[in-house]
Amino acid sequence: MRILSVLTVGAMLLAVIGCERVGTSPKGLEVPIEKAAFKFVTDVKDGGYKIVGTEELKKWLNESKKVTIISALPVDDDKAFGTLPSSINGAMPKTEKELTQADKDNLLKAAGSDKENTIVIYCGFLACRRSHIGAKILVENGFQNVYRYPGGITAWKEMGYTITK
Amino acid sequence: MDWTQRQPVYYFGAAMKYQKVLISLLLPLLFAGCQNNRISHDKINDQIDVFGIKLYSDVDYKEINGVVATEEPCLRGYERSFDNLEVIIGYGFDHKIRKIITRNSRTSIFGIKPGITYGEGKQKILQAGFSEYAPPYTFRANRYSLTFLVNGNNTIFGLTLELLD
Repeated sequence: MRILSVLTVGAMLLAVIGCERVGTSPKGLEVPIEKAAFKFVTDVKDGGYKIVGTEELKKWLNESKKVTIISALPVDDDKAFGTLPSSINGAMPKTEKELTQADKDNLLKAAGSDKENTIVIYCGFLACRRSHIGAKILVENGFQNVYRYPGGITAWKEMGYTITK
Repeated sequence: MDWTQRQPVYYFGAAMKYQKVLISLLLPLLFAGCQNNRISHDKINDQIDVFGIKLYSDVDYKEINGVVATEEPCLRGYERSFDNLEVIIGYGFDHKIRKIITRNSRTSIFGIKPGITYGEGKQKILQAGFSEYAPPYTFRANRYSLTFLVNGNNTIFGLTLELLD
């Protein structure tokens, strides 16, 4: 009976260890991450903008660096999920095929007239391409310091940083 | 008599006295309220002619007319794109359809087909009981939002119908 109990506990432990996920994100799956990474690399090459990570962006904000932050998410998503501090909405569609002149006009209005200003544009997470579409438009319109923040609102919240709601 | 000393029966008596006036005031309000809620999800779904796709449906579309979907995550769930059909379906985390995007001129929502002018589309959507929400392209009724994707020629090239949270 005692041997049976030990064996049962041992089997349960092995099962738990076997279920633990490993990879880029311990909570996630590797294949979607790989897919997103491929798209991200292609988009960054194509877009001509720079990228900034979560910790670096937080440092910029802590240092009160002059940055215009634009959320490329729909206004309703900003309301529901919150935004990065002092961000302005410049909603972009998920694909270029849905892009309208009104979207472009709204984004350029949010970016302002100073083409040398540092602009950071973000959306939901790494796989989200709204920020790519927006960053590319800004570069095409002569903005010289355009950064895409790929982690977006999900990474920002994951770090426990302040959001505006 | 001071108003603080008046008993409930006094107010009831006053209400009875002005019964006709009250009814004539309340009835139009009642009907106005009914009008605002008159767009049920059945009525919405009856007006969607996009490959049989309906809001709230839990049909797991992975292929439509031989076109296989590509899936992307989003903050509110996930989206399936049917590129050759120019249709995107948005699912919530509950696996129910919460968004339909179409750029296909063989499809329509409230009789609005991609390809018609903004003026025609606006007339149709207002007639359907929607009102302008974020002018000029987004209209809302109850829990539904319809956005026109409009190009430089003032032609509607796509429609986004979304269920609001």
